[in-house]
Amino acid sequence: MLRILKLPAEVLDVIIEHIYSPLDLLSLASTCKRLRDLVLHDHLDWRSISVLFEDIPYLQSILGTERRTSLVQRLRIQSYEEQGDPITGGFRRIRPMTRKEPTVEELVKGLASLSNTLCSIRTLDLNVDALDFGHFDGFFAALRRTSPFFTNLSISASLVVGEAHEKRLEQTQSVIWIFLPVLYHLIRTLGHFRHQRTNTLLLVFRRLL
Amino acid sequence: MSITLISKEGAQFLVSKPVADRIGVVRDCAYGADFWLGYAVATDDSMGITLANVTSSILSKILVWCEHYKDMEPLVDGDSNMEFPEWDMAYIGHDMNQILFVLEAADYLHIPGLLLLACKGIADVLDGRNPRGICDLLGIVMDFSHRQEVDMDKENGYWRWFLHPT
Repeated sequence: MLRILKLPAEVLDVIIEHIYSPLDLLSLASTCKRLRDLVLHDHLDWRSISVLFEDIPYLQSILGTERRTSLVQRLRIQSYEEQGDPITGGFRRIRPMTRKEPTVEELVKGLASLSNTLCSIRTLDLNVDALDFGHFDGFFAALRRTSPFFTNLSISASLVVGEAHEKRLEQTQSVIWIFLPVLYHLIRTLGHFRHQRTNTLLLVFRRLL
Repeated sequence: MSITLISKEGAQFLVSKPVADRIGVVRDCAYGADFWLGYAVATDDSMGITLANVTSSILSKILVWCEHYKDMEPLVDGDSNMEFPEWDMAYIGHDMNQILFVLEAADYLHIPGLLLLACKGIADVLDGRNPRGICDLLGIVMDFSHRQEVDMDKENGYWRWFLHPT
C-alpha cells in the first residue's frame, strides 16, 4: 500500500497526535526512516518538557514555530533544579548552554507569549517559589482561552528565599562531609578484596586526608 | 436546490444543498462565483461538478457522513483525549484500506471534520501493535541499515527507560 507515507505532513501530524501512548509511538517510530524522524524528533521530543522558571525566555525563543508549540502537551515549570534523578516522570529537560539572568519584563513577556501560543497543552506542573508566583497573573486564564483541552493543573509553591536557601545549601554540604568517611571505608574494604594496588592508592589518599 | 456530483467513474450523485455544503470543494464551486453577496448564483446546477480523484464507492460513503451531519456541526478540532460520538466510530470502522481512501478523499474535498475522524480511526487501528504488525498493515518496508538498526535499538531502550524509569 505505502499510501500513508504519501500523505501530506500536516495530516501525518494529526494522525500521530491522536496516538496517545508513548510506547505505541515508539513502535510506529521503528518502522521506517521518515516516520522515525517525524515521531521521535518532533512529537516525542516535544510532547512533555520541563523548564526552569528563569529559562522561560529561552523556551519561548526555541518554540519559535507555530507547529512546534502545538506539539507541547505537558509542561513543567520549576524554580530550582532538582538534585538527584534527572529523569522525572518522562519530562524532557530544556536548558540553555549559557544562562544569563533575565529581567522581569522578559519573564513576563515570555509567559504571556507562552500562554498565547501553547494551543494543545493539557497538563501544567508548576513548582515555583512563592515569590515568583506574582508573574503568573492572568496566565491561567489566557491558557484556558487558547487551549480548550487544558484540564490538569498542579501547583506547588515553596518559599526558599535568601538566607534560608543558603542554609539549605550548607546542610547538603555538611551531609556530604558526614558521609565521606563512610564512603572511604566502603571503598577501602572493596579495594582490599579486589586489588592490592588500590590499597596503595588508598594509602596515598589517606595521607592526603 | 440540488447539486449533481460526478465521481471518477462518471456515476452521478444528486445531493441537496445542506449536504453539499459539508464538502468544501463543492461549496466553493457553488458559491465561489458570488462570494461577496453571500448566496449561490446558480439556482439549479445542471452541469454537475466533477470530482476526478474520488471513486464512486468512497463518494457514496462520504455522502453518508455528510447526510448525517447536514444539520449538526461535526467536531473540527480535537486531540487524543477527545471522544467522538459512537455513530462516527462505527462509521469509520477498522478497515485500514478503506480509512486511508476516506482520508485521502477528505483531504482532496476539504472536509476537516471527516479528515479528523479518519485520522482518529487510523490512530485507533495502529494502537497496541508492534512495529512488524504496523509494517505488515501499512505495507512499509523497513529501510534501516544494520548499523542504524543497532543504533535504533539503543535509542528505543533509552526512550523506554525515559518513559518508564522502573
